[in-house]
Parts: sequence; structure tokens; C-alpha cells
Amino acid sequence: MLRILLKRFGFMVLTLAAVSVVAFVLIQLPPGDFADAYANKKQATGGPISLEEMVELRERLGLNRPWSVQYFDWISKIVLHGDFGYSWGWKRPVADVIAERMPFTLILAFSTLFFMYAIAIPIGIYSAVRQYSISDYVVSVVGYIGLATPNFLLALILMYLGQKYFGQSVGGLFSPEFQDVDWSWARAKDLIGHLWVPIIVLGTSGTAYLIRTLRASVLDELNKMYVVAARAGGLSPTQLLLKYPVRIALNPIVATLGWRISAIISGAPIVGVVMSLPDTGPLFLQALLDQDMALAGAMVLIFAALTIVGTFISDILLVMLDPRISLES
Amino acid sequence: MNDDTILEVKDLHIKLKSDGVEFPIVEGVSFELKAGKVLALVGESGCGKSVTSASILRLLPRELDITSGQIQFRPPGSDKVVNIVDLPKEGKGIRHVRGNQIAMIFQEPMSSFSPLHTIGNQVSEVVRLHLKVSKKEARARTVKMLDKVGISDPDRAFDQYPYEFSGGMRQRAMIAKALSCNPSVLIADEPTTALDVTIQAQVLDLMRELRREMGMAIVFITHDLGVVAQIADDVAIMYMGRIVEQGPVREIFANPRHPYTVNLLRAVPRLGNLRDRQKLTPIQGSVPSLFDRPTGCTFHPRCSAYIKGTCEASVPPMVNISEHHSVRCFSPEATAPVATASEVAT
Repeated sequence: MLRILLKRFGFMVLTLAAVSVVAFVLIQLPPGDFADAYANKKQATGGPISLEEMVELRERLGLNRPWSVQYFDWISKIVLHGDFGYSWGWKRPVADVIAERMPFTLILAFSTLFFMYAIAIPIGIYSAVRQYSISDYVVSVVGYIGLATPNFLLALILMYLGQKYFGQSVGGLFSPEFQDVDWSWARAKDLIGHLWVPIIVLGTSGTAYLIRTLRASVLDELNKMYVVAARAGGLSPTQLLLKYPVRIALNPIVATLGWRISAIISGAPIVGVVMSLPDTGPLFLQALLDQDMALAGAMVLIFAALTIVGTFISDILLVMLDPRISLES
Repeated sequence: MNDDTILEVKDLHIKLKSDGVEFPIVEGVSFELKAGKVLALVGESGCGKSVTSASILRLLPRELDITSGQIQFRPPGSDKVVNIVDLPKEGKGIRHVRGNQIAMIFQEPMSSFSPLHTIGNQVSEVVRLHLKVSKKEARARTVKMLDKVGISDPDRAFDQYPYEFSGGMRQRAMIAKALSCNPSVLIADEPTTALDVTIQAQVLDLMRELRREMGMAIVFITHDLGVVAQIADDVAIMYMGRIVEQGPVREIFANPRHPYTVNLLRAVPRLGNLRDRQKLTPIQGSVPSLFDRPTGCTFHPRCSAYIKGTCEASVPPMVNISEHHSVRCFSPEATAPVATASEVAT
């Protein structure tokens, strides 16, 4: 077992390395570089910079070197020194910039994940057991709408409704008075009060997807022979449902855990921008626009790592759930 | 209900409800099961034999309903007779009967176990449910039962998963599960149909042996007259939801009176036939669709003894020919032996 885990870990590192190359190339791909973006910005604010300044900037940042050299320079610092480099846009170390915002991203991602599973599992089971009942239809209709509505649109609708009917500012994660103060009980409560809107926005389509999946797989299992056989042994309907069909229907749910994490994380930047959240979403988008290489690359790496780890966790869980699956061979 | 009868089905009607229309599936089935005896329910696919057997444990799927009739059961060691039809759906009453007093084994050993739970977990489930024993005791009992049904190294088998078992072994495990609470009635719904012939013979032997040892009565559902001859004491022949002929196996095989029974027996291959190069006689026509049920005697469109104006006009009553032998026909065949039980049993 330990050998298999080590092997899997090796593959994870390889995947991450491949992702880092692809990410680096992709970020470099649009025409222009940080110097151009910087010049454009300066121009827009009325302070044009000269050609010499641009040349000097490129020289200083090493943008003249071939991309492969730049890549190895960047990645070796990360691997060897844990140094994610310097954000040109923020003029601060990348690690500092990310550390400031990453906790919010993680809080948001994991509470969304928790919310999705906590809602989807009971509802999915319920609508399978009560197939074709009114409540099943209601859940299905709401689910399809949830699946079909883009995140940002849902965010805008919720913000509008929140503002109009509850008089609450639903953008951001804090009320203005808690924006830049130290952590306190009141600030945490304020955070929870604001957190539900992005959770709903980020979690709705995933929840709908999970409900559909779970409903379908429980329905599949309910008609299986072994369920009748177990019923013939005298189990009560609830004991039966939980011990067999639900247990088996959890497999596809667990198997897609890794995808869910990456779906949440890749959906986050747009929602973050629309709702002006202080998480890494807007930061990431800005870094891409500015071609702020070190920052954008570091974030892609972190997101990729989260996804890979999520997939790994769901693989491990699957092995624990289903005796027929093994990581070997 | 007679003293030695433990299960009696009386005038059972089961209907299929589909889009507000009802189709009869079982129409007035009655039979008695005596303690320790084996009754075979025989018929073609779709004749209602499996539905009848499932209704005894109230295991009918949602779209099937018992519309009238009684299923009287005398629990072991009790004088009180329970009408299973009156028990609340999925209530404590029926759950106490299931697996404990009346157990059932199924046709498909491959799909009768959950793939994610160990054999031991699933077999000992009934023991833990019905007998108040500790986990350790339940395991010991289950291991003993697995040993009894001929599973080698039962202690190891307890912790194995169904995918590690062959079809024959799974059916043995299924039998172990069914018999582990010592039920007084076992319902076996085509338990050997999905197995190959050698394993089939082994499983039949096992069932006979266990019956001798444990003394339970068996309702044995099959379409195979050869199996009937090997294991049953009595036989009821079903056609489109009705029992058309009923009696002791020897009597029915030696002296079949319903044209359907006669034809069924003629369609069974026998060693003698092969020697004489006789052809098997198939029954003409095929079973009509459920939605296109013939009037009167449902067999009349295929019957060689069909009487115009009588057979399609009304359903013939069940008539006693001798003390235990009864037949549902307006023109039962004359006594003309087609086969003996031992011939069919080859």
C-alpha cells in the first residue's frame, strides 16, 4: 500500500510539473508582455513612459530572455527555495499577496463543497425514493434551472434582490465597518452573514448536478435484485435504503469529488470579480491581464495542486468504499 | 385450515395497474402447503408463478397489487393463524415473518448479493435482525451455516466479497442466508435456473438434504418438470394466472387430465423417446399477451380438446377427480399415461 501511495505521489508531482509548463506558456502566449501592459496603464493615467524606460524595465525583469530560461528561473526558485518570486504589479513578494487572500478562497471553496454535499445527498435520495411525486418534480425543475444558470448571472440576481429587499450590501465578504479591522467574534459573524451569497452562487450548479447523479444512481440500485433479496430478509425500508442502495450510489458522488473542487475553484474568479470578494479570484484575473507572470503562475500552480490533491483524495475514498476497486496494477 | 397445513393461499387475485387500467396477473390461485412437504408451482414464463410466490412475503413491486384473497400462515409453535394479506405494508408484522419464519431464495445468484458488502455481513444480517444474539455469536452461527451448505473454509468465506464467489457458491450462500433462522417455509423462486446442469444437481441435492435435516416446507417455483419430479411431493400447474391442475407429483405425472398438462409432459425429452426416435411434441401456438387475455378458459385457443361454445364462454371450475387430484377443464382427457415421474426425472 505504501509503495502504491508513493507511486501515486510521484505521478502527482509529474502532473504538477507538466501543468506548470503549460501554464507558463499559456500566460506568455498573448501578444505583449508586462512592460507593454505597464506602459498602457501608465498611458491611461496620463503618465507616458519612454521607450528607454521600457527597454530598461524589460532588462531588469529579464523579459528579454527566451521563455524556457525564464521558466526554469521561475520554477527552480519555487522548488529549491520555496520562493514564488516577486509580483511586478503589486510590487510585493507573491507569497505575501497570496497569503493575504488565500484563506478566503479556501474558506469559500470548502464551505461551498460542504454546502453542496450536505444539501444534495439528502435531497437526491429523497427524490429517488419519491420518484414522480410532486416534490420530485419541484426538485428536478429547480435543479435544471440551477444547472442552466451561469454563476455570474445568479450572482447579479442575488445581489440585486439582496440590495432591494433586504437592504443588505451583499457584495464583498465584510460590511464596511469590518473591512480592515482585526479578527474578532463580531467580524467572524459578519463574514458568515456575507458568505452565504457566494456559496449559493458557486454551489448551485454543482448541487443540482449532484442531486441528479445521486437520484439516478439510487433509482438504478433500488430495482436491483439484491435489494429485493435483502427486503426478503426482513430489513425495514430505512435500514435497507441506507445499507444498500445509498451506500452503492455514493460511489459516483465520491468519484467526482476532485472535479467538483476544480469546478468551484475555476468558477470562483468570475464570481469574485462580480461580487468584489477579497479572495484570490479578482487577484488572479488582474494578474493575467497585467501579464504579472510570477503571481499568475503561482496561482495556477496552487489551483492545479488543489485539483490534483482532490482527485487523489477521491481515489483513496473510492478504494475504501468499494472492495472491487484497487489502486494496484 | 387443517392442523398439518402451515401455509394456505385462498382465491388470490393480483392485478397489474398501468396507466389507470388493470390487468389480471393472478386469478383465484388456491393451494395448501403441508408442514415439511414440497409443493412445486410449474408454468411457462409469465404465468404468474413468481408473482404468486413473491406475494407470500408481500414483495410485489409497486405496480402489482393483491386485490383479493387470503394468504394464511401458521407461525411455528403457534396456534394463531396470520392472514399475511392483512398485515400492513412494510410493517413490523410482515418484517417479522420475512427471513425469520418464511424465507426466500431467488433465481439470480449473481445479482442477489450486494457487491460492496461481505458475504458474511449479508448472510448474518438475518440472524442479527431476528435472533437476539451478539455479533460474535451471529458470526459463529453464520460460519456454521456456510459450512452446512457446503462452502469450504467457511471462516474465510465469511469475510470474502461476492465477486470472489462462483454462481454455485453464491446460491449456496443464499440458501445459508435463507435457512439461518430456521424458517418453517422456504420459497424457492427458480433457484437452479441460472446455474449450469452439474451445479443445478448439486444445489437440488443440497436442498433435499437440508429439508430432511431441518424439516421446512418448500414452495418450489420452476418451469422444469424434471426438477419437479426430483424434489416435489405435490405439484400445481399454472397457466395465465390460474392453477389448471393440482395433485401429488406421481398422480399428475401418471394420470394428467388437463390438456395443458398432458401437452407439457409430452414436450419433455426422455431417454426412451430418443431411442425410439420419436419427435418431441410442442404445444401449438404461444402464450397470449397479457393485454389480450382469452375469455373463459384461457387455454382454449391452443387446446386440442376445445369445445366450441363452452370453453370460451366461462371459466371452468376446479373439479376434484380423486381425493387429492383436481383439474380445471370442461373436457378433461381420459386416463392415458404419458409418463411416469421417474421417467421425467432423468
